Amino acid sequence: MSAVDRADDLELDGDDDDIDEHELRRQEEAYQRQYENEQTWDQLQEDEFGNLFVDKTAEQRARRKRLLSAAQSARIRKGMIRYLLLVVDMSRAASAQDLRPNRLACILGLCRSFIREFFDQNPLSQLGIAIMRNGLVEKLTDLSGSPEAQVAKLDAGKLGSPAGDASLQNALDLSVSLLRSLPPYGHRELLVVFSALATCDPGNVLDSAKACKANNIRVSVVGVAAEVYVCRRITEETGGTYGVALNETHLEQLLLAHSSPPPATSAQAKAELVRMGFPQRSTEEASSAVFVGLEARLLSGNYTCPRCKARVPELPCECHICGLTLISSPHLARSYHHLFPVPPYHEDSKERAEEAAGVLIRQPAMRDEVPTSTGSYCFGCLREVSQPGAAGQLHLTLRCGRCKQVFCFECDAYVHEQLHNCPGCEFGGT
Amino acid sequence: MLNSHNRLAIFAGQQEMCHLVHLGLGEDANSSADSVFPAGSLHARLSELVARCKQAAVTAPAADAGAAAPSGFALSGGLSRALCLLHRLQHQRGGRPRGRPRVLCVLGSIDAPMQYIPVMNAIFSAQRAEVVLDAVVLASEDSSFLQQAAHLTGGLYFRPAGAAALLGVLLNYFVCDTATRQQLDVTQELGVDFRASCFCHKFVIETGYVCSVCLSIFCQPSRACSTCGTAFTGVAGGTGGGSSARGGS
Repeated sequence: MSAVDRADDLELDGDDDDIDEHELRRQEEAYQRQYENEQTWDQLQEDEFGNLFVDKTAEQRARRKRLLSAAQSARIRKGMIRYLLLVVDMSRAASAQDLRPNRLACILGLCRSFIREFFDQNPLSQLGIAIMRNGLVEKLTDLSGSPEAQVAKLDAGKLGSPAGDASLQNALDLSVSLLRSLPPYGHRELLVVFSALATCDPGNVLDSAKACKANNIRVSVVGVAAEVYVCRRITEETGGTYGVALNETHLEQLLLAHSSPPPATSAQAKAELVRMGFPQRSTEEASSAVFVGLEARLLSGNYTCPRCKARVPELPCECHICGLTLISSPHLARSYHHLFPVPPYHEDSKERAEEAAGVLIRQPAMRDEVPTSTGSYCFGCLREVSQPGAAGQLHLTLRCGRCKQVFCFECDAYVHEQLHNCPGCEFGGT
Repeated sequence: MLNSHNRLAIFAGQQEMCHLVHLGLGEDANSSADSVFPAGSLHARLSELVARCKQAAVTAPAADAGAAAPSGFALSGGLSRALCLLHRLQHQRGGRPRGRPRVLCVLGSIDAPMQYIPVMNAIFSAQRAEVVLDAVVLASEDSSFLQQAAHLTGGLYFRPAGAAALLGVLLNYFVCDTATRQQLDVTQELGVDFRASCFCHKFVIETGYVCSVCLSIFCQPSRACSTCGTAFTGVAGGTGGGSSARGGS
């Protein structure tokens, strides 16, 4: 908006020489703020032959710091069975164009990948979507466990254009009414993606926040515009997190941080033994198709509920006849890595290398498998890595504290973010 | 080596280790015939590896006199190394092979139950990376880990009747790429069992009780979870419509 104003001023003046000093200084400050972190020439270094290369270690260290904080929360009880309501702000602030092409399109795209990641990490959970527009909140989908139906609804074309004000109180009231009747062992959460700078409510929004807290609902907000005091109050009171995105990448990071299970407070959920069923799959032959599920579709591949023998089309779901939660063992196994995370790797140093050499002597078959010029290679991907502390080190060299094997930065990121197994520790590391 | 764009890496492993036997990534300009068609040197290297293992097994009992019995081949470790290598190759710029990457496991030992979680982690990350896991099992019984791996990633699972059938299976199904497989007549048995086994007795169960904190599975209700130690307030039944839990329902 300020750019528009400035352009108007220039047109009125009609004369380039008349841009005043104040304006120039403002523009210079804005330029510096924008580009202050982009002194990429600092990263260039010379090796012993005088060749130039880019030293990526600083960037990698910064990225590792973020990974580390995730790995240290191993001993905290987490909310594994989650019921999350996602509320997207479609007030007129969502049509601003500071995120390309406009805030709403950017947010919807990121919400789609958030939903897929959410069900990937929490297969036993359920998610519902609602939108805030014109001071009201509309429920788009009910709480359910299948990602594709939810993702299909988040299409900008079908949703219409953003308009009106955002009302946080209505969103909080909707979440209370939807999540109140759920079983107590599940963790109830509300995630609001907020683009507006104000909330336009029929009553006192802080009363609704108290009602959320009384119902053990954890409210988190991801802001897109700027920090809003009432959001801060609500999230602090209910125990959620509030983050404001600086740019699109940061917004993606903030959203995806909510896909992993949050720490559980003792007030929130009581531990219970939940009765669940593990159905068998029928054959895929077309000749054995039956009517399946509540809508009675004719399908050949389906699952049989072990308690009432009704047919359901896909897992995980609740049996529509007897209400038993039906899952398969890979679904539970998907969540086990939250409970047994891989301990973080440490940067290699000469002392660690010597200590490790003593341990690795016992495994002669797993050394010197690949010819390298530096003498060490990454145990995971067999890429050459430099010795610790060598001149001209291009990438970080990392070592696992338990099995003492060497890994490169890419494998570290892959192991801790996706694979959740340390290859070295699998071979009987101490 | 039907196509010069193919890349091949071979890991061979025994109980507690896994050794890279061959790596043909097509990167060297002066690749000799050996690195593209490794048959000759492969045989020599494998025999040398087997001899080294036998020697190690002979000298080891003196050192590990008090140690527990070895737990069988570390399938999860081999899979993890292979997946790290595939991850690196997928993100490399230039010269990326087309088609889906695949991992073929030729296994002679039975499943080790302690490996359940790491093997499932490897299977899920293979699913995400669109890597196909195939298996040829030469052991006395089916490997349920590899059956699930093949089913979840869209791969093939075989247990040939005798060692002599191994060459036939390899030539018929695993020489071609994943796209051509649909044209072949691949009969897969439908014996993939996704039922869980309870943590207390290892029985295969159809309905069970799941701890809501640590997700361990039990066949009977109890006062506290044996894995995470939380005391339970009650048992939640699955009655229609998500009603609140009633004690002892």
